Amino acid sequence: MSKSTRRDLLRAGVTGAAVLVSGVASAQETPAPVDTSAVEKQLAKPLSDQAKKLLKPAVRNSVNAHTERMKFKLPENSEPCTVYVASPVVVKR
Amino acid sequence: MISPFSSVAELGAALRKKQVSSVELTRMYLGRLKTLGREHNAVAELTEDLALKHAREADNKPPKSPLHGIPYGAKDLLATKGIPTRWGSPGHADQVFDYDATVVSKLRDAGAVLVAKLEMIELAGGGNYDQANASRMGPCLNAWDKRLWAGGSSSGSGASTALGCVGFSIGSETSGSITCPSAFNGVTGFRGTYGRVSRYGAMALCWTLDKLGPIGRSAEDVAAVLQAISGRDPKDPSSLEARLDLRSRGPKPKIGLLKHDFKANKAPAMEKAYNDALEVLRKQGYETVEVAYPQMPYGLAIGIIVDAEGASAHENFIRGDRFQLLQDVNQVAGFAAALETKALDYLWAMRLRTEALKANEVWAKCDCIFLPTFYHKAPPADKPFSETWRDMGGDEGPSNLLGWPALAFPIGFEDGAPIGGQVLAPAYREDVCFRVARDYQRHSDFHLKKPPGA
Repeated sequence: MSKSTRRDLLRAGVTGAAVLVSGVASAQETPAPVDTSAVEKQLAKPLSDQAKKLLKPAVRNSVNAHTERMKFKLPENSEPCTVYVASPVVVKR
Repeated sequence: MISPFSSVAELGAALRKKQVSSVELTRMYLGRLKTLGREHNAVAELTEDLALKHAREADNKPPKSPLHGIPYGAKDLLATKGIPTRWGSPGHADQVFDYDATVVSKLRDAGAVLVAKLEMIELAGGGNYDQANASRMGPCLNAWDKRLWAGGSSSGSGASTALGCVGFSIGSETSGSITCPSAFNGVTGFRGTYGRVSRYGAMALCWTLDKLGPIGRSAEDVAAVLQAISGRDPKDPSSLEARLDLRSRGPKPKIGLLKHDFKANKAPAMEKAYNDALEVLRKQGYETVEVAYPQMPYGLAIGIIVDAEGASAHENFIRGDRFQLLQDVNQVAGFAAALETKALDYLWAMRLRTEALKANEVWAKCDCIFLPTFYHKAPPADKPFSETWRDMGGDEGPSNLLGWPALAFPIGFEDGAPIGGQVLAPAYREDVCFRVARDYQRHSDFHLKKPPGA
């Protein structure tokens, strides 16, 4: 079996978190360039060099998750597992 | 003096017979937390003064419950009035709430004594951590071998329970955070049906996936704690109305078995432990049947939900000045990237959960599923998981997405460190998990083993 990516191991349930798809590209593939500037602009402080480096694969994982999920078609018009339930309001007059 | 590894029932009986006082138990566990607990980086905060006060009160009052006077520890994501609750995060080092989480209140009402807040992976690991060191106190070390990790994210809960530093502990799980440290430290841990235990006052990672649950030294202990902390809570709209009933009646539940490739995963120790455990159960009349889930990207959906809900729950922190204080820079990158999660992706994941309900068809063939929690013992505490997490397997099915209960317990050893199995059951059927685990533990002794040096 192959080495797991960081997100694989989390998906397997090592944490409070679970994870996304194994989105890190293999050594043979050239990872598609990702633009992290939109993320960085949202943060209060500039990221460290190491964080910047790690942000690229993290954003790429999100992109890959989107690509992967598009492969699994859900029934048209199906509902999410949680829907809004209206609460009655008791009005005191 | 009573053993720190005594069961909840033994501790309770000794207290009722006045063979030991709650103050004496509290001092004993505080002493162990200060030495063993701290040596393993399992302690976030000792609550010594308050614990001794509550212990004295317990000694002077008639027992309120089977937990009366028993010292316990709580994962540091549970709010405790006036006591720091840091969520394992250096960025939340000065956080103190002015209220108690419902679980803490319920345990107080039951007469249990909080002796410590227990260390955890920062923010429950929602940013995809890659090292055991992703925690304010440093890497939480395995109770059986300090070279290994204690598991996460309820790291301190697993390690301190295994080390006999508490009578029992409380952990939380979004996807694996109770079962993982239970397996790695050789203790028994339970996550209930989603909503079985109120989440009020617990740090949110994912509102729709988070569960709280007990970690103890046996299924019997964990059941006693679960009785005390479960139940409807108006402060948590997702908490269940249905009453918890752990008495399983009728014929032995039929055990479903998923396909496992132990050879490909180089897991001979787990193969033996798993087959031995099944043999123990079969000898008691349990029947087994092969089962399989419908093929769906369950893990992908969980990952998207964790990204979206985790980033939303912690958005102010992620966008704030203290964000980069997180211990593991992978978490910084992961949480930051999660800000860009698309609404359509999140809704796809939540719609997949509806589709995943088809996996409940598995219960037409069996009453529960027994599987290895992981194929191997804990990985080293000093190396990135991306280098060491190989062939581990794990529950990659729909159990967390669908809120099924899981009871994890030790079934063997690999190179001297514990390995575990877990029983999954349909939602609301905690009784089935407990019946199987109790029967197993009546005829095995892995849950009674103590870590060397403890």
